[in-house]
Amino acid sequence: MIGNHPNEDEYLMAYSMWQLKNNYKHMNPEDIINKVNAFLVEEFEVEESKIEPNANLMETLELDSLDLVDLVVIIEKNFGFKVKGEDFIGIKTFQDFYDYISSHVTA
Amino acid sequence: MNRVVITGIGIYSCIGKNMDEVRTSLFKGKSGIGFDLIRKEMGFRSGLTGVIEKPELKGKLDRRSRIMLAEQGEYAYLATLEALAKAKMDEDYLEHNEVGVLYGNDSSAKSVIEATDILREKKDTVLIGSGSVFQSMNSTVTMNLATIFKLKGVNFTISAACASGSHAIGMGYFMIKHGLQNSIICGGAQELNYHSMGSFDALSAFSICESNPGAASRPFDQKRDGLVPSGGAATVILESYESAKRRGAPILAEVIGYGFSSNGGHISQPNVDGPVRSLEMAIKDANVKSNEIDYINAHATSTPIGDMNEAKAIDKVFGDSKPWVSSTKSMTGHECWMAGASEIVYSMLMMEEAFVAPNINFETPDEDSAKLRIAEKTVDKKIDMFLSNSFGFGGTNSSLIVKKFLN
Repeated sequence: MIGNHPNEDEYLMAYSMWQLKNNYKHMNPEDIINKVNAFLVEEFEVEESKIEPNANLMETLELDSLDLVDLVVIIEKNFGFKVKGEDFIGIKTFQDFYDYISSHVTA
Repeated sequence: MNRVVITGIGIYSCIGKNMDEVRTSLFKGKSGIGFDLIRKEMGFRSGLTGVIEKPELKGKLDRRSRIMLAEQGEYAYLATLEALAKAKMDEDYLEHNEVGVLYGNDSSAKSVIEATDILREKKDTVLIGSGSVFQSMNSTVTMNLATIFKLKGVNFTISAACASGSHAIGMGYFMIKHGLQNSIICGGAQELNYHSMGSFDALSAFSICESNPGAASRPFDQKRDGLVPSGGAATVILESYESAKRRGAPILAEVIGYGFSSNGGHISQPNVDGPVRSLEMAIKDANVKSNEIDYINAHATSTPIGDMNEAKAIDKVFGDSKPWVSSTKSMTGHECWMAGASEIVYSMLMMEEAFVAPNINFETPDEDSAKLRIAEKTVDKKIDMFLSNSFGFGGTNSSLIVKKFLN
């Protein structure tokens, strides 16, 4: 319980979610790339040096179908939106991935 | 029929994270019980619990394997690592030989609850994550151990409440004895969190001696007021004697008897007849006389009725031979699905070092425990053969007899 009144908690939760969604509106493409790389390195335990814009996302991170589920979770946690399964079809490189995230957070 | 020997043991418990620590705790009569404030905040009647250090597996295990493991799976992984090292079974051996896994586990409450919490909050299943389903099933421990260690033999989980770990070893013994498998990783694992214990606390089955946690678990003592939940994991690797001899494996002991029964009575209150039949069946299977058993590691969980009925059963079967008796649950609390396996490990450590670990907090016997020879302090005693009891809800009983290996 953060506040004392039950409604205050709901208010604080709603405000935090709004902040989460709206902060990204002010992120420039470079910030988004940095943030994405940071959570990919952290979650998938890959060396940052292996991440290059034109490298294949799935192969570089050695992702299988189970990992894609976790990728959806991390995106929601970090950028506040839910990926649809079919969205991954068009994403081949890291650059594709950065562009995809950008389009969802700065729209 | 094959002789069944034990070639590896490993443990991760509230009285030690490995064999050395546990051995010292057993000898010193050290308690692993503490008090958990979170349980009181959640409305538990008793805040008492075994206290165990959360393992850090990053660096030891790859990410995918770690995500799939529930809490008790982490304990089982560490206990099994230790046991495999002891048994001298490396990656190469496991790749080229069929080694099975039969582990006792009867819940994975925390994982299920956390998944449902996410579902309720997010109204989305993908956000539960990829590891959850593999953590949430009762077979989470065996499915993960088989995957991590690339095992190729028999592979399933034994669920029999607080007799799970014991029956797992019993089943392994049975399969190896009858030539179905050369070696099997057996054991028991128990999650140690409030999620899994809330509904158990509801029965007022736990001790409320909260002012002195170390004194709360007092099996056989007149002042006992309930059990203390605990957890962790223990691994016991069974192997046929021929297989162990062939590869020059260390032979730690021999499993010579397994008995079991069901009470056919109350779902949570044990009777005397069921345990008696389990004891007698184990003794018959071992083809020994009851007076050859030097030590009994009792199931005794520190409940008023449970301990009483077990004392009656032991007295009925062992009568005048009066083997030493102690319940290591006095130190560890009730390790539930892990207990049957961990108590074999504890007893083996005693047999190795020639002592009987104390049934701590045993100050005043009651009418039934007075008839037993209970070790209130550590006893210097050469143990050549021991028996371990485990009883569970639903009236499931299991008794195992292990002896020093003689060529």
